[in-house]
Formats: sequence, C-alpha cells, structure tokens
Amino acid sequence: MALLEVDRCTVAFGGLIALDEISLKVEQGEIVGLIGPNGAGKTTVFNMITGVYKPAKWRTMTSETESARQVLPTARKRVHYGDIVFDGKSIRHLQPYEIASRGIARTFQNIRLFNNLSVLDNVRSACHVHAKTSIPGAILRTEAYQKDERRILKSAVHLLHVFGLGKYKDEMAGSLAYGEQRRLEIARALAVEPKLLLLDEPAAGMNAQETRELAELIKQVRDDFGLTVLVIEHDMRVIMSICNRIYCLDYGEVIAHGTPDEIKNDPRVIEAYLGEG
Amino acid sequence: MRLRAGSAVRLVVWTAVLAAAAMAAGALIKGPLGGYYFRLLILSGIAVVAAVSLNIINGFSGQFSLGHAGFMLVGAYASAGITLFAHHSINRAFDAVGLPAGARTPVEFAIAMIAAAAAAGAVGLVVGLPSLRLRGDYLAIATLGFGEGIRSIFVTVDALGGASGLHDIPEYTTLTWVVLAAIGVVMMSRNLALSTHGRALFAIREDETAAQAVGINTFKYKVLAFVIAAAWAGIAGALLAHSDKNIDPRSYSFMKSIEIVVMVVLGGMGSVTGAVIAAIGLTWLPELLRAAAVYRMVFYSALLIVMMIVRRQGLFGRAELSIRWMAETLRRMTSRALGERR
Amino acid sequence: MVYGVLRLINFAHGDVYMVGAFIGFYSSRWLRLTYTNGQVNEITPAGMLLIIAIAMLGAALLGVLIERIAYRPLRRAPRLAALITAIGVSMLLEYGGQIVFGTTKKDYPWLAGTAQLTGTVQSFGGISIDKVDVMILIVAAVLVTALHLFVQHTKPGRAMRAVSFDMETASLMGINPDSIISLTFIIGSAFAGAAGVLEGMRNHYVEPLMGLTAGIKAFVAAVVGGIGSIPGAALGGMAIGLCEEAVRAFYPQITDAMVFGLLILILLVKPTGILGGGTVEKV
Repeated sequence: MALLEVDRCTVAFGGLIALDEISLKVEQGEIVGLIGPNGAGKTTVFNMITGVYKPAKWRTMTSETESARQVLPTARKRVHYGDIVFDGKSIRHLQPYEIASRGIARTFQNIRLFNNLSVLDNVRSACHVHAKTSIPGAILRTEAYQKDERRILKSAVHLLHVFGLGKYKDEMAGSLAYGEQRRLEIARALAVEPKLLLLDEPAAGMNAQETRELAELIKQVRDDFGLTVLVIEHDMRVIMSICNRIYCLDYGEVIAHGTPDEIKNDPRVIEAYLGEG
Repeated sequence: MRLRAGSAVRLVVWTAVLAAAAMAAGALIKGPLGGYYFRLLILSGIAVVAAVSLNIINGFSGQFSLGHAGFMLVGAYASAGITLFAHHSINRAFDAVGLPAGARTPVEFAIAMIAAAAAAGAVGLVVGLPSLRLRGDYLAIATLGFGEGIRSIFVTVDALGGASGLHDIPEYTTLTWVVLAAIGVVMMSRNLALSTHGRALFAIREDETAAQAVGINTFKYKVLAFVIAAAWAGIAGALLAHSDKNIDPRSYSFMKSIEIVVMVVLGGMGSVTGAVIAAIGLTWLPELLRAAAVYRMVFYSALLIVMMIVRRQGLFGRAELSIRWMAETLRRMTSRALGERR
Repeated sequence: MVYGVLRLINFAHGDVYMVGAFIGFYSSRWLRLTYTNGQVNEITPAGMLLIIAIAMLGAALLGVLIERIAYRPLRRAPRLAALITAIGVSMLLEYGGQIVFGTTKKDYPWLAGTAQLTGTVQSFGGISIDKVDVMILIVAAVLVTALHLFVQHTKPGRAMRAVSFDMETASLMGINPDSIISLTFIIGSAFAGAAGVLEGMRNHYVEPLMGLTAGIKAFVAAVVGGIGSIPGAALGGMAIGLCEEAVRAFYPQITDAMVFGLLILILLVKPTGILGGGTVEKV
C-alpha cells in the first residue's frame, strides 16, 4: 500500500480549476518529483495534501471550461469526491496541524521561517508536536516539564548540527543567508519527525554547486531519517539525479508520469515546457 | 504532575519572603508618604497585572485585543459578588472550620480573586473563540465591540447596580496582594515564554500558516492566550474594585483598554519587562504631569504618535531584562572605565 | 474608502467629523449666517449648504495634514503601529479640541422654520419628516452618488481602486500612491466634515467628544456593507442607523453595544460584508 495516495482530487477556486481530478501515489522510501510549468498547480497539490485547501465536491463551470453553454451560463458539475489517504487513513478532512502531527512536513516556495525567533527556536517550535508537558506543568516548571525541555533542546541542537547550522543557533533566523535559511526550513520540517517530507522548490535561487549539495543532502536525509520525499522542482538536474519517479503537471492535470528516463523523452512533457513545434 | 521537592520548597519560600517584604513596605510607605503615593503604588501594581496579561495576547500570540477592560470589569463584579453578597455564607463556613479571625479577610479575598479569574477566563473563552476567524484590524474592532458589549450588559442589569455600578465594596486590596499578583503574572509569563507552549505562541505570532505546518494547534493556542490573559485581567479588576471600594462601569470603557494597550506597545509588544516598566511609568506619569492639567493628555497622545514614528518597537522591543544581560553590561561598562583610566 | 486604500482603521476619522462640525459652527457665526428667531439661532438652507462646503474644505485640509504627519512615516510599518498612531491622533484631536473649543456643548443653529413644532414638510399617513432630515438625505444622496460615480468612471477613481487592490503593482503601473492616498484622505475627510455638520444640524449641539463613537460606528457600517464598496458603505450606514433607532426606542443603554454586536455577527457570518468581495491568500 502506498504511503500517500491522492485519488482523483479536484481543487477549484470559484470558476478557476486549479487541480482537475488528479491522482498520484508515493511509495514508502521513494523520492518522487513533481514538475511542470509555472501555474500548473504543483504548490496547490502540496497545499491540498497538507490541508490548506480542501478537495472539492462540486466545481463551478463557466462557459469557457465545458460546453455547458446550452445548459446554463454557470453550472455546477458534480466531481468525484476525491480522497487523500496517508498511511492507510484518509486525511482529506483534517486541519493542517493535524496532518503535520500525522507525519507530513513541508517547506514553502517562499521560505516561511519564524524570522524574529532564533534559529534554535525555529527548530524547537517544530518539536512542539511531540512535546509531552501540559501548560500548568510548564508554568510551574515541574520535573517532567524540565526533562521534556532538555530532550527537546538536545534533539533540536542535534538537528542543527546535522544541517551545519549549529554555530548559528542563537542568531535570528531572519539574519541568515538565503541558502542557510533554506536548510533551516528543511531542518525545521524534520523536527516534526515526519514520514513524508514535501519540499517546495528547495533549490530555488541556488547556484550549481549549492544545487549539487542540496541534491546530495536530500538523498542523505531520506536515507538517514527513513523518510519518503515528494519534491517540487524546476531544476532538472536535481530532479533527474535524485528522483525514483516523476509526475508532470500542466493546467491542473497529470500529463505524464514515470521514471526520469521515461519523462525525459515524453513528448507531452517537452511540449508543456517548450511549446509546440 | 509532581514538583521536584526542591523547586516546590523554593517556590513557597520565595513567595513568603516577597509577601513579607511587601507587607513591610506597605506599612512603611503608607505612614510617612501618605495615602496618595500608596494608592499610586497600588495602581501601578494593578496596571502591571493588566499590561503583562495583555502582553500575552498582543505580544506573545500576535493577536490584537482592544477589549481588555471588559475582562477586568467581569473580574471586578465577580469578586465583589463574593465579598458583598456571599460574605455571610463564607463567614459561616469559616466558623464551621474554625478559621482564626486574622486569616478570614485574606482567605475570603483569595476566594473572591479565584472567582474573578474564573469568571473572566470564561468570558475570555467566549471572546477568544469567534476571534479565531478574524485577523488584524478586524479582530481589534471586534474585541473593542466585545469590551463595550460586556460593559453594557453590566450597565443594563439593575441587580448589579446598573449604570451607577456597585458601591461599598470592602477595601481588601493591600500592597501585599498587589505585589503578589504582579509577581505572579510576571513569573507565569516568563515561564510560559521559556516553554514549548510559549514557543508555540511566538510561532503563531510570526507566521500562522507555518506554525500550522509544524503541527501547532493554532486554534487552541490563540484561544488559550485569551483565556489566560482574561483570567489575570479579572484578578486586576478584583484588586481595583477592592481598592476603589466601588465599581463604576464607565471607567472600564475602551479608553481604559486603550490605556493598557499603550502600556504594552510603549514597553514593547512581546516584552514582559517592557510591559512592567511601561505600566509603572504610565501610571505615575499622568500624576507627575498633573501640574500641566489639561495639556497632559495632549502631551500623552503626542508622545504616542512620536513614539510610533521614531521607535515603534517600544522601549524593549521583544527583549527582556535578564540578570545575565545586566551583569554583562555592567562588566563591559566597568572594564571600559578602567581601561580608559589606564 | 480610507480603509480600502490604506488597510488602516482611521480612528481619527470620527474626530475629523467633530472638527468639521465645529468649523461649521464657527463659520455660521463669523459669516453671520445665523439670525435669531425667537429663542434660537436659525440658518437658511442655503446657509446650511455653505457651512457644509466650508466644513468639507477645512476637514479635507486637516485630513491631509494628519496623513502627511502621522500616517505617511508609517506606510511600511506593521499595521498595528499605524493603528496605535491613529488612536494617538484621535486622542490628540479630542483632548486638543477640549482645550481649543472648551468642553461645553455649543448650540448649533436650526434650519429655518424648523424650530417651531410646525417644521414638518410632509406627512404620510401619520409619519412626519423634518425639513432638516430631508436636507440631510438630499445632501447625503448627492455626495455618495457623486463619490460612487467618481470612483467608478474617472481616471483618479480607477487609480484609487487599483491602489486599494494592490498598492505595489499599481505603482508599477505608473500610479503615484502618495497622491492617490492624499486624494483618498481629502475626499474621506471632507465627507466626514460634512457628516459632522449634518449631525450638528440634527442634534442642535456639538462637543469635542462627539466623534468617539461616531468614528467606530462609521467603520462598523463600512464593514457591514462591505469594505471596498461605496454603495456597500452607504447600505451599511443605513442599516446601522435604522437598527440604532429601533433599539434606542426600547433599550437605549445598549444601542452602542448592539452596533458592535452587529459587527461581530457580520464578521463571523460574512466577513466581506453584504456587498463586499474577498481575496484568497496565496500560500
């Protein structure tokens, strides 16, 4: 059974169909790539999986999308209910924080760190999901609370060292260099102790050297932490070098899916990126 | 939940020491300096409780509440309800238990304050829940509305004194109580801030979406901020009512809420130290400027505007005064002085 | 309008309204537009329109001043800081007003012919309308319609809508956000000033603290009607006004609270307001 299965989900914003009954599967231990031109809906897939957007039960059609012109100018078409199954259970109806606690962590296209918190606190905030103390316990500083805090501190510092950010631990996250911020965001995501890691354009803004290092880092993280990774990227070097399988999206639909070699030569993918002719 | 033996003892000892110190200070000050300054100290302490508690909503969780006075009012009425209307039943209970006369007033007041915190906290829940749907300015205005709404409920109900409020409330507030409450709220804030729960609040303040993405239940924490802050505001209200000896609903309007907001902002939103200092400073400042009469409020509001333009993070920003920082700064200053001499 | 463009709750709006009312009051005196008729001072409809115009001018000036001095430096600051500043400006105007104008209420002139009880214009089967109210309705309708047409069909109006949608992109399209914001404040404050005079004409007195709740209610009306929509704001204003009067008849103490209750209801049920449209946040 796949770790994550998206089954014919539709995401619509009023009349705009962002995702049109898309399906995809991610098996345990894989690194799966999600590619496609800008606006294809890749980040929307992430947002849907993590619960920020919910799959639709209906969608509104305008006279441009389907020939409903003879019926009504705007009609509602019933779409497949759509489901997202993670680790055997449906997560379609859950809040983002619940999904995170089930084991799906993500990074954002536009780096969303807690800029005014320290690097250490950024990671520690993600440890909260596994914290065991109650609030009265924290206020009264009980034995159990102090033990838990020590544990959190230890795992956070360890994680920072793994990512080479140990020396910055007391710096403001917002003061870090771009590449370091990206790594911090990944470190923070890992503090959630996820089974599935969603990376949204992690190589954006990086040069060739940094990109190579990032690709190695992703593979290593997958191996060391026993993760499964779903990564959105535009940089084909990264995608081709680390992905087991790739899905290609365009206009909210999966237009191709397969191994890197298959995708490389798929005419539909080429057309989507480069246009016809 | 077990406190380590050491820390429990330390808690009790510290509390006893501070209480004794406050009692002594109270006795000393009231005599020579007279009631006026004594009252200012009491008001400063109450302001500290109000400001530091508001800081949890505005500074820690990043929401914006303009209705804090409403919570204070609830606490004021709840506590007065106990000390005025339940007085006799409580004393009968004391008789049954055999409580000595000296302990009766403090215990009764303690019960009243617990009632105040509970009532205000409950109202905080009612206000906090709908606030989940609102952001920024909309939340500010909605909380303003809640504050005024609460006030108008108390004004309309004649059984609670209606528009003229409640009178003849016993003066149970002492400097000791005020100091204990102020210390309590500060310690609680500090411990909260250092804990994982505090970090959850800060994360929500920084970026709510990202906070959700790392598994923080933003709904629970945003409401929790309101409940905790409201409870302490209720205690502040109880202290105020039993110092004023009456409750005039008109003085718990949104003007008062704004005064508390100004304290938190001036001190630096998010900084407990800042809130404390601003609360004390802004309680004393209008009194010191009393000579300027009408002009003092104009000066006050001009100060606010200038502050926002020139240093909007307030005095402390998000920083806190800590023993370590003070020691460091002291060391640096002295070494520089010594170095120059040579 | 101001909120739509600046995303700032202008707490001082109510106080500009107050200043407008006072400008109307003093200009009626100094220009000798009032004459005594029996016990009260009266003013002709033409005089009323004149003081409205003067008040609008004065209020517009004040609004621009406030924007330049207090709000512009905070254009890029967190919205909370701007909110605090707005509160500061509001307080400054109120307490300053108390110093300049004194704290006692000033008697506003009555519209000619209305001081006596026979000042009604029409009687529809038992419902009588004051001449003053007719004037108010006419002035309000004219101003709001003019504004709506301005915002929808003129170049500066389109620019205002663009800036309220996305200031940065609008500036990339060649719109100077500073002048548009100043324009917004000019118009908004002028309207507030007019409203102040109208209120004075109706209630026959003005005092420096009259703007406090009025400003908040104005914002509530805007939210109820839908931020970003001029007809919405008008609708919201009507709704609030009608509800207020209905409640005032039975439970006068909770009138203000009821207005807030309405606000909270709308914010929970349909935050974009009756005629408003929302935007989705991109994650």
